[in-house]
Amino acid sequence: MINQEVYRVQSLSVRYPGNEVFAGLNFSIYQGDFLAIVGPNGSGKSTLIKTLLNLLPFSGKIFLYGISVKDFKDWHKIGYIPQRFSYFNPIFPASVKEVVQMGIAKSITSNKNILIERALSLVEMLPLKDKPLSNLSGGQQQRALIARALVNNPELLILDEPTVALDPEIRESFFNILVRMNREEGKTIILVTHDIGYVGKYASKLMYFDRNIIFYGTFNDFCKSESMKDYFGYRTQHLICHMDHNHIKGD
Amino acid sequence: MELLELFKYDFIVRALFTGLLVAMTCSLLGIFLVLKRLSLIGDGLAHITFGGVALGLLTKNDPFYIALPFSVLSSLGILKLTHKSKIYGDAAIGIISAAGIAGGVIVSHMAGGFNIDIFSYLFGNILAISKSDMYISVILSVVVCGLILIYLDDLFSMAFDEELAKITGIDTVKLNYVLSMLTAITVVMSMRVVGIMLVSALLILPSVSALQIFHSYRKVSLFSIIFSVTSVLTGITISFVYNLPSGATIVMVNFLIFLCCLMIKYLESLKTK
Repeated sequence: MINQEVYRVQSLSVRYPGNEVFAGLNFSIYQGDFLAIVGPNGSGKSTLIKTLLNLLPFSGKIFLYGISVKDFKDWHKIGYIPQRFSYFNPIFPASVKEVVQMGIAKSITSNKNILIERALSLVEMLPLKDKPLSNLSGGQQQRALIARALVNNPELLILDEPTVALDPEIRESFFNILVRMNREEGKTIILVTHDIGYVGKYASKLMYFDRNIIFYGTFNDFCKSESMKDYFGYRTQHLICHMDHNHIKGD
Repeated sequence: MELLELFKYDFIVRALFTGLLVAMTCSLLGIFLVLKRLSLIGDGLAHITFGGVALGLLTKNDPFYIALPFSVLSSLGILKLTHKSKIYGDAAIGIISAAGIAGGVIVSHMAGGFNIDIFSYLFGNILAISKSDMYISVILSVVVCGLILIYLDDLFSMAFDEELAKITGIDTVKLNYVLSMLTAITVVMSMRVVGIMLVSALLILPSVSALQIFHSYRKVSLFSIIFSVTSVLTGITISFVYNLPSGATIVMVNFLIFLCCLMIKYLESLKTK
């Protein structure tokens, strides 16, 4: 059975003045996918994500749940964690709870406190809910933003390097939450990372992106791919695919 | 003189009431300008307002009615320059404000210079405020404060992160235009209180003071209003009793409040060490 199409992308191109980031992309993402988009720095991964969210001008077509992303209104279905944590205003006057509250979709009018507390519990931040954001460590601030992305109990989570500021333990528990949401609740997850080896443990699909789609398929297919062996070299492919993943890919 | 005697004078009551409204409006709006790092937009629009005032005086029209559309259109121009021409926000403010003040100087020169009127706009004279000025302030304050309160959560969300705000379904483009126009209206409304030269202080200082000691956006909003109203009412009273320029006195009271907040923040940091 083919799952519902979450994203359908047709002839997608993005161009900055004097610089074409990528052109002519075509792909689909399906309900229940845990897709890791990996690639080197400057490969256009974050640009691709922002384009999928209609945050950047583009040419081509993007359909989100069957609706052109330009006309899409059901934003409560989407949770997004941006990468650029350095842009975050450290003196912004808000408690952890207020930051999460800001993420509640406009269409939701009741049970807001329950939603906030649930999201904070997921990232183990409930005891810090009344703390000012400016008094927290970088990792705690990042967890508050993750809770904000989860607060609407979204169907689709889009995460751009979400674990950069997290301790290894918290990172592990965060990925476990994502895996549970993906496998038990059927949520679709799109995760951007430069850590291709690490993410193989969790993702069901992999897109290797370097201003173009170099590979798109399951992690096992990636490991068996002759073209990827040519692209990365045998040793690198072997290292990526034989890290201690302890995973069984859904194929 | 007994302090209560002040209320015997109609012009003092008008000044205090108008000052109260302007203080509330400026402080409420100023928080978003500070958080969006647009503090200087007030200064820039004030310079543009000078051009409008000069044109009003030249054409023998009430400068307020010329300055208002002048300022609103310029605020939209700044936004357009930033979005369409990819010019940095501070550069766009600089360009428009320089053009506005240059236009004002040329108009003043063409008129062979203005009398003392222009000084009351440049440095403010709230004690000379008329009944009609007061009524206009009431209407504009209700419009500006009302819109800010309607969009309060959305404005904070946008100030926190514009992209995240957009993903929660907030129309950030529309909201930026609303914020820009409200700023222009507030600047023009405030010019009789503190003057074109000092209007940005009324927008920035109360919220920056509140940001020093409060970490919740609702508390920052509340105390920004309290600081602003206190400074305006105290400033007007001091300026009347000691015969000082009202605009400058209001700004100095604001500055003292800011210093007190800095001191409290410093003492709090000592406690936590």
